[in-house]
Amino acid sequence: MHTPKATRRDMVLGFARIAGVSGAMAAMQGLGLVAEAGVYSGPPKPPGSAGRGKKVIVLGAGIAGLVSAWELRKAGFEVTVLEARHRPGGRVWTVRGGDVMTHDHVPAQRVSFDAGHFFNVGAARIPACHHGVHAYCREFGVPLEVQVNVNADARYVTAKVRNGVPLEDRQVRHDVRGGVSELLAKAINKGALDDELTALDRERLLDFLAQYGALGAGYAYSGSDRLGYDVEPTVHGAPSSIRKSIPLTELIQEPGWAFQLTFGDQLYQQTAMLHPVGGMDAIPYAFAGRLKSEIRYGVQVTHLKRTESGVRVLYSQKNGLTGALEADYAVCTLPFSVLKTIRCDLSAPVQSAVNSMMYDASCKVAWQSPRFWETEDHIYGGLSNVDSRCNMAWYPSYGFDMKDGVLVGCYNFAGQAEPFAAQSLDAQYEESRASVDRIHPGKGRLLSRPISVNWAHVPHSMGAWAAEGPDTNHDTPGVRAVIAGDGPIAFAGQHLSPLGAWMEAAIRSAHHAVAGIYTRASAA
Amino acid sequence: MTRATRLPALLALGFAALTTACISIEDAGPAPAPPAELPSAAINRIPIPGSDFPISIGVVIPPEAEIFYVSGVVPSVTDPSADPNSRAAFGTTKAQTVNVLNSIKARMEAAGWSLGDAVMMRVYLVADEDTGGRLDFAGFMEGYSEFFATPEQPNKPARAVVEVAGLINPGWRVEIEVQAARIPAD
Repeated sequence: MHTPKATRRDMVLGFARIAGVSGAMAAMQGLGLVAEAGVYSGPPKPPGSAGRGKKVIVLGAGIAGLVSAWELRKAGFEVTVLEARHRPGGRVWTVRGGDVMTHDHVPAQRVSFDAGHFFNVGAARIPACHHGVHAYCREFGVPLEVQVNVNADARYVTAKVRNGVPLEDRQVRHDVRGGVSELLAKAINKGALDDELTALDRERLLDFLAQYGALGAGYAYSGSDRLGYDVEPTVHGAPSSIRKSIPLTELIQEPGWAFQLTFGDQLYQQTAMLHPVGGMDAIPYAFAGRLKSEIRYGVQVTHLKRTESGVRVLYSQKNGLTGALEADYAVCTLPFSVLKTIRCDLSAPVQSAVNSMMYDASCKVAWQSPRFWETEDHIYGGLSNVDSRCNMAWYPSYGFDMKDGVLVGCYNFAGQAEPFAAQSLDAQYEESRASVDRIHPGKGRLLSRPISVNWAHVPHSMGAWAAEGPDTNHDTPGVRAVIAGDGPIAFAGQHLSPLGAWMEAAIRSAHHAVAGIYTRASAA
Repeated sequence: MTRATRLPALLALGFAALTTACISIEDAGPAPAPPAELPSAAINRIPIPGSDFPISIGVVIPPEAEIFYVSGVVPSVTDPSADPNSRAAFGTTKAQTVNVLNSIKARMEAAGWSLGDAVMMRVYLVADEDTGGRLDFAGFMEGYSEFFATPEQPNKPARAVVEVAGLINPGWRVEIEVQAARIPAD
C-alpha cells in the first residue's frame, strides 16, 4: 500500500488531485468499522421482518441515496426518496447534446455535442478494486468498457523542461528510470552501499538495474528503444533512429512529474480503469429505473426535524407549495455543503460537524473536436499533463478512430478551480483551449462546442467532494458522531468514507447507514 | 448575523420575489459581491447563491441606466372557435404565460429593447381549474423558464408572483408587467 504522506505532498504541490488514496483499511479500522472492512461481502443482511411497516425517507438520489433506498426496500421498508433535481445520480452526471447545465453564478449552458457523444461531468472512472460498484453493475447488468488511464503515447508538457516542448510519457518515464538506475549502479560500484548490501546482493541489484533501467555497457544509461523512434524502422537495411534520451537532471526540474509518473500506480488510479458503456449515469439510472415509485424529483428539502416517533421533513415543490412527510427513520445523503443550509435540529456535535466540513472546488471543460490526438499524435485514451491551471487533456476511451470525440481540456482542483470559476464562461473556455494548444500545438483551434462545469457552483452539490488536502482530516469525533447516526437519522455519502471522492465511498457509507437503520428497526 | 442584513437596502424589491421562489431568503446564503470584471456602469443582477431558480435576488441599476416601463400584458385568443370570454379561448396558465411573454418580447423589441433587459417583473395569476382552484404556479414556471435563464437568454429579473381574484376577461389567467433597464450605448 502506498504511503499517504507522499500523496499529501503531491496535493501541496498542487499538480493534480489524488482522489481517494488514503489507506482505506487502516482508516476503516480507525473508524471502528473493522467488521465491515476487508473482503467485500455485499450489503448488510436484512433483519428479517423488522422493516415491515416501517417508513424511511432518503434525502438525495445520488449513489448513496439510491443504494440506501434499494437495499431498504428489498428489506421490506417503505421508502421515499426526495431529490431536488429532475434526474438521479447527484455528482454522477453525464451530459449529452441538448442537455442544459446550470450554475448559480454564470449563465446556463446548452450542451451541443452531436449524437453519440457524452461527457461524464462528475464521476468518470472505476477501478477494478471498487467491489461495491462492480457488484451493483452485475446486479443490474450495466455493461462496462475499458478506460485507458495511463498511456505511454500521452504527453508531458512543462515550461521547466525544454521550454514546454511536448514530450511523450514513454520518454519521461524511461529516461527517469534509466537515469535513476544509472545513479544507483554508480553508487553500488563506488562502494557507497557496501554497508547495506552483501556482495552477492550488489551483483544481483546491478543485474536487475541493467534490465530495469535499460542500462548499457558499464551500467551507463544512454537511452533505449523504449523511448520510441525519431525515424521509425521499416525494412532491414533502411535507416532508423531511436529518440535521443533526456538527462535526468533536466527531467527533475518539474517536481510535479514524480506524481504524474506514478499516477497509475495508485491503488484507485489503475492504468486500465472502467466506465459504463454510453456514460457513467447508466449506474444511477439502473437504480432509479427500479425505484420509480419511490423517488420524487424536483422537491427540495428545507427542514429536517425529529419528532417523538421519528422524523419530519419539509420540502418545496414545483407548484410552490410546501410538502411535509413523516417517517420512522431518515437516511440523509446530502453533501454537508448543502445540508448546512437546511433547517435541522441535529444534536450539537453532529450539526457542528455538518457546518465545519469544507468542500473542494473543481472544474472540467469538455469540447467536441476532430480526433487529432489519434489521427496525428496516435494517442488512444489516457491523459496528457501540462503545467497550466487546466492540468491536462483527457482523451475519450470510446469511439476510437471515429471522426469526432469529446476531449476534456481542463480538470482542476481546489486552489486552481476557485479563481478559474470566477471567470466568465468564455474566459474559462479560452483558458482551456490555450492549455490544450500547449499539449497539441496548433490544434487548440479545432476545439468547439465547449461546456464547463464549476462544481462549487452547481446547485444541490455546491462542491466537488469533501475537501481533500494536506491539512484536511475528516476522521474527527464530530464526523464519527455523524456516522453513528443522530437518533432516527442515519447519514451516508462520500464525505463519510476515507475512500474519498469515489462512488465506492458512497456505496460503503450507504451500507453502513442501512445497517444502522436495520439495527434501529430491530431494537424498536 | 442574519444573512438578509447583508443585502443592500436597494434590494428590497427582490424580497417579494423570493416569497415565490423555491427558497427562503435565509436559505439563500450571503449575497455575493458583484463580479470583479463587471464594469462600473452595468446592470448587476445578483444571483441566488446555491440555486438555479431562474430569478435574481435583486437587480442593482446604476444612475447611468435608462429605464423602460412596459404596461401589463394579457393573453391573446388562441382558439377563436371557443367562447372569447372563456379560458378555453386562451389556454392553460402555461400557454397563457408563453403567449404573454412572447407579446412582451415583441413589444420590447419593437421599441428597440430586448426581453433580456427586464430587471423587475410582476406577475398576476388567477386561480386555475387545472390546479384545484389555486394559481397554477408550476404551469406558470414552465412557461416562464422558456424565456429566462436559458442558454440563449441568460438574464434573470427580480420578480413577484401574486394571485388575484380576477382579471378583466374571465378567461385570462395571466397578466405580466415588466420594468427594464439598460446602459445606453455611447
